[in-house]
Amino acid sequence: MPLQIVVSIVESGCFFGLLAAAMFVVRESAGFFNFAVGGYAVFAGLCAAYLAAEHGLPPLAGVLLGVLGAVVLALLTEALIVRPMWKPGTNEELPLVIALVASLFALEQLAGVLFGRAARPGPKLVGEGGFKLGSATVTAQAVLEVALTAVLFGLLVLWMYRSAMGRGLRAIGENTQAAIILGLPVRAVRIAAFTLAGLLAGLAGGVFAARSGVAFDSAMDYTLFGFLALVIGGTASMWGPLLGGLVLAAIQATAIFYFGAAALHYATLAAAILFFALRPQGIFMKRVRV
Amino acid sequence: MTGLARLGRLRPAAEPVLSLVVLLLAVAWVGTDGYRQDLAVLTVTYGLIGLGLYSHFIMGDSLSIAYNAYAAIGGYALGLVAARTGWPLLVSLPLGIVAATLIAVLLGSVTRHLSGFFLAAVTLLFGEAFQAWLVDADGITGGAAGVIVSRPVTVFGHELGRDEIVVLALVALWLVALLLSRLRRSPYGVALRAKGQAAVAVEAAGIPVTVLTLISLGIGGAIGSLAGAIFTAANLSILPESIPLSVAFLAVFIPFLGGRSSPWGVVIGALLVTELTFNLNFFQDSGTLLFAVAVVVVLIFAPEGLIGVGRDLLARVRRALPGGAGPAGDPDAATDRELERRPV
Repeated sequence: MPLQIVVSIVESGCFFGLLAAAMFVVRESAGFFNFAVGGYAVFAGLCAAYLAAEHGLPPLAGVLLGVLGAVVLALLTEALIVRPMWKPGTNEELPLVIALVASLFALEQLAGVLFGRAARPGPKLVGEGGFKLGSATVTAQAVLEVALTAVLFGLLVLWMYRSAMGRGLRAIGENTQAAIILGLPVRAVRIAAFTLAGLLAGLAGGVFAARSGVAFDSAMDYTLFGFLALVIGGTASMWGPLLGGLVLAAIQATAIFYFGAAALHYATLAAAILFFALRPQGIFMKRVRV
Repeated sequence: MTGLARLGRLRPAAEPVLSLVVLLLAVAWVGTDGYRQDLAVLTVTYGLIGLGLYSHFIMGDSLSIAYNAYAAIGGYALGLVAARTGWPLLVSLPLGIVAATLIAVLLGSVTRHLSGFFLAAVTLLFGEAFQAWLVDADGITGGAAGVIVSRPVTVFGHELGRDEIVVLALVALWLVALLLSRLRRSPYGVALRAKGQAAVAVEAAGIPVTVLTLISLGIGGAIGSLAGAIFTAANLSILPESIPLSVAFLAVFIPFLGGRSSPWGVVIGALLVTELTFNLNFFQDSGTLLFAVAVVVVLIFAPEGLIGVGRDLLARVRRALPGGAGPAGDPDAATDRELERRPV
């Protein structure tokens, strides 16, 4: 396989990894998958692209505004949907999940209504430069994406394992009832987790949009791929989402390289069925399947 | 005993009669108006897909959502029989239903160990892969251009026009909703609903849960295929984009919007989704946005859907009436309500 494809796998893997990390922090703090993350990413990407194209804003300002919008949307999700509907310890999470899926749909449509339904090229944060790595070209955009992912994951790991709030988040994820009884600040931690989810998904959507553009109806794919990356990687380690993202990207890119564009969907389906059937705990073991 | 309570006793007979009256009114309202016919076809399509999901998702708690695939199978069966064979078009209906049922059961048995979002994710990916295959396999499906239904549907030599197809579509929706409402109260339906709440207990009671689930998935696939066949018969063509993946999403929301306690909730939800996405599209295609927001609002404030709101209002009226006792009237309905009272 050409080296260029490996570069592309790393780029896609970082993108999926960031989306999976956004789901991961919410799952650790509240025990459910936040399916709305794809909506945050699409909103941030389209917002940045729209502001740059229609209002002539500098790309960086557009991306920052988009990320801000994503964080606000994530906090709104927490306040308007999760707070009234979240009932820890019961088996009744279905309405909450459906509400989150509905909000994914609403966010996608909101982005479409606000910023237009046409696909847009993403805002270019860096120039066209790059360097040669063997036979492959690594663009400045790719360097930016990988560096951003590395920094974000580094900070996330530090925060999760070193800060009091990060430890609280993991404690709540391990045993919500006990955490509530011990008086851990469950709500504050959940707000922090949703802020982080908005930030991670927003940065992924805003920064990676320059790679292959952004369209309002990608939200569901983003959510699905992030979810799959999280399931493949497993939730036992903070690095799980990133590794899962890379594995998923590798499977998709290999399938497209050997079997053509339609194979993307076949390979993703096959990967999902295989992983769910054979290794439901993910690569980093911890119970994932409900 | 008040008149209302007496009405409650008549419920088994009231359901088909009342719904038949509504059906006749709907048929009369639609008439031969082309625009109203479009609305009716869309409502029937959404309604049937929602009813398909009702059979295994609302009753049995398996969130298998590849409905765009089942509907496409029904639609393509009609299109391909019209384009590639000389058979009467009615043959395509059982063909499509059998094919969709088989695929639903096959997908169900591959994913039988999954539940919740994991099942939803895999079936969603299946729906996406199927959509990609429809475009990809242009030798079979006509690719992105799709197939055109070039001949009219005939029944014993009589050609069905669009007017008749629309009436038949409404009748089909009524019939399927009625049958599902009956099925829901049958021993099978009770077992399926119990499985949705506590699968282990049902398995322990000697009912094979996997078979129970696969049957419900097969029923869903068959109804989904019927939806696609009706949609295609009314529109006379089928493309991969005719039935997009988002249809599956809308179908998941429909029962929550209308009310999960009865298949009629699906019909109400389908009416609403048609109204919101088609009729009220006044502001830049924002109908879908309105619909999604409406679903979220209903889920937060009225978890039992619009039927639940109506039932609460009715119960209040009953209590306010002198001598009107709550659920005393119909013992069957009372146990029914207990089963439905899921702590949401």
